[in-house]
This record gives sequence, C-alpha cells and structure tokens, in this order.
Amino acid sequence: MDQPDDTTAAHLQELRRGTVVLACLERLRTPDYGYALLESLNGLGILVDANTLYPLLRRLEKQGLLTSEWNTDEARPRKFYRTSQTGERLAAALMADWRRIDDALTGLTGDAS
Amino acid sequence: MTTLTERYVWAAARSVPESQREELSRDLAERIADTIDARIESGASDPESAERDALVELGHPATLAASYSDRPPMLIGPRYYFVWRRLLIFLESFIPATAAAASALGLVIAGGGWEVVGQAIGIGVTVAVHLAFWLTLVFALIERAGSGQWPGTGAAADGRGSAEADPLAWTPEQLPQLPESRRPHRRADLIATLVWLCIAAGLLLWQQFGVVWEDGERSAVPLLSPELWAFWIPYLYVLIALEAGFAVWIFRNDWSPASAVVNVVLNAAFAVPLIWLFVEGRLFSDEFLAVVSPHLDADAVRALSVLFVALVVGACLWDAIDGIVKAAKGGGRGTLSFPGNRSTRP
Repeated sequence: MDQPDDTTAAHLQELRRGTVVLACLERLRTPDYGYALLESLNGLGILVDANTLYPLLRRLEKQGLLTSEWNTDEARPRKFYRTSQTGERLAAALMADWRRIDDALTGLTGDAS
Repeated sequence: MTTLTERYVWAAARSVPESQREELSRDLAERIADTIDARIESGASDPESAERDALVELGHPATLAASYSDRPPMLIGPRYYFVWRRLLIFLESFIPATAAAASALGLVIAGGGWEVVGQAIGIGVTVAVHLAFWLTLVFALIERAGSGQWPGTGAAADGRGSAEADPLAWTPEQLPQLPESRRPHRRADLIATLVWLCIAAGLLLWQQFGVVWEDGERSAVPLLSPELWAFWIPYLYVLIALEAGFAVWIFRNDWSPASAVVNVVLNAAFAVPLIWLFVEGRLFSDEFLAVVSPHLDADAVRALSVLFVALVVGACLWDAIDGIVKAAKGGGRGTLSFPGNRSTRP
C-alpha cells in the first residue's frame, strides 16, 4: 500500500475508531491490563495507538462498560480491566451492526465473489 | 519509580481536577513503566535512555492529561463556536466605537482639546479587549458547565443530545421569519425605538447645558452630577448603543428566549446603577438640588424619591416582562394574523 496521504489517514482513523471499542469489549471478556491489551490488539491486526487506547479504557470504565481492579500480586501494581455485563450487551449490538454494515457494503459494491 | 517518571506523573496530575489525580497518577505510572520495559525489550532504547525516550514518546504531560480528563482541551467547542463568533463580531462592531465616541464627547465637554482623540482611541481599544475577554470567558464557562461529555464521543458534541436540558440549544422555533411574513409594524417599531434612543442620547447631553428652569428663566445648571461624565454617562451611552443594536437584532431575528434574557439583562444594566446612584445621592448635581430644594418639603422629597424609583423599576420591569411574553409567544411580532404566515401556535 502506498503511504496514505493526510485525507486518507484521517478517513481510515475515522473508520477504525468504533472498531477499537468493539475489539476492546470483546478482548476484555478475559481481564487484562493496558499494555498487554495494546500488544495483543496490534498482534491481531487491530491497529491502535497507546495514546488512543489508554484514555479509551478509562472512558469505557466511566461509562460502565468495563470494570477495573488493581492487581497488586506482582511487584508492579497493574489495573486489570474486564468487560461488564453492560459492555457485553453493547459488544453484541455493535457486532451485529458491524456485520450488517459489512453485508450492506458487500451488496453495494456488488462483489459476489 | 525514578525521579524523572515521578516528575512527569506529578506534572500531568496537577493539570487535572483533584478528584482525578490519584487515579491518573497510578494509571500513568503503570503505563510509563510498561512503556519503558517494552522499549528495552524491543531494543528501541538502551536501558539507560529508555525512561527518557518513553517520556518523550508520551509527549507534554498536560496534553497527555487532557486526553485522560473529562474536560475538553479547548476553550470553546463546536457547539458554541458559531454563536460565540457571531456575538463577538456583532458586539465588537459598534460597542468600542460607541464607547470611544461617548468618552471623547465627555472629555470635550470637560474642557479637553485635541489630546482627547488619543484618549478616546485608548478607551475604545480597552473596551474592545474587555468585551472580547469577558464574552469569551462566559462562553468558556458555558462550555464547561453541564454535561461532562468528551467532545466527539457523545451526542452532546454535535448539539443534538441534550436539546431538552440545554437552554442554548438550537430549536426550529428560532428560525427567522421569512421576510414576506413579517408584520409591516416591525419596521415602524424599529424606527420608533431608534428615534427614542436618539432623543435619550440627546437629552443626556443637553441636560448638561440646562433644562432647569428657575423662576421662569432657563439657567445653565446641569441636571445630572458632572462627576458622572467620568464613567456613568459614557456607560449610559454604551447602554443606549446596545439597546439600538438590540432593537436591530430583534427586527432581524424576532424575539426568542435568548433575546428575552438579553432584554432582561439590558434593563437590569440600566435600572440597577441608576437607582444605586440615586440612593447614594450621586445622580443629580448639587446645583440642581439647590435650585429645587427651596420648593420642596421633606414629605415631597420622600414622595418624589419613591415615585422616581418606582418609575425606573416599573418601566424596566414592564419592558423586561414584555420581552419575555413576546418570546414565550414564540416571536410575537409578526407570527399572528398575517396572510401567508402559516406558523400555527396554540
């Protein structure tokens, strides 16, 4: 892929914004902390920046979609996030919509193959 | 945690409200430590420089803290930007010039020469700066009041979400009337108001040179205390200019809840200082009081004082309520009984 210009980059970011939320909610059904989540999402091909992810986690927690707990068992205390029930319901709704949009776009482009 | 990290965390934490500081500090400490480890592991940094590199990657602590905080990192957001800009341009277009002209007039009357031009320009600039500052401050406070929504994540950011709760939210009722459905009286109302304001402005100047009749002869005794030229009479001129601008605004946009509020504020801005000056005994000039006092006994003075205060309060109250009623009717002037006006209201 060519180096995306500014407009392309902005639109890609716009397109991905909501999917990061969905990915977090799905991934955090198993509790994890910020950096591990960042690594695993990027490893899965869901490209997200630390400057986006950390504030997002806090925001989702404030909205009651994630719960958090400080794990102090290890030498370094870490905040573990987990998807709440509300979060799971939202994830299901987002996922359904994601699939619907995917179908719609497939129909729009008329790409049957 | 080493000193550099501690300093970073402290710098970031102090820029958020106290209630969020502890949580932010712990979150940041975790994030920084993990970032340092990752840099060393991936070989991006030497163990010695990893901490510094990690902090450089995080950027300015205040910017980082703003991204964590609920407060928008902006003075005036998209919700109020256009209202703010429109109001600022509108007010700046005539208030500083009016203030400068009024004070130039005052200074000339007080015996000033050509140097008043410089002083008047200075006053105009000062007024312009004050106006911009206070208006912006008010909007910045409005921006921060109410919903703690992060811009771009909630419905509030696009102005649709909190329409019921937000008195400044746009509603279709605020749409201006089409020109053909305006009642012809609107123009007459506007002209009457402007003529009246011109007369008031003229009287304010003329009283200095004598409207007082003493023993059947006009004497050059000022009605109002000359000391008021220092501030309060220019203030009244500014108020008159504001009223004129407001009348034009009403002519063009019709009454709305917002304009009713502005009307109340304008009336209060007139009545409160006037009554205060009167009660303090600073409103009328000593010369004028000396002329009238022989004709009045204590009871008459008391009765006239009460009458004066009641008149000012009554007139302003009536005008303020009138505006509210017109706004409550949904822009009274021109919405009723005009052919072609299909605006139906209960």
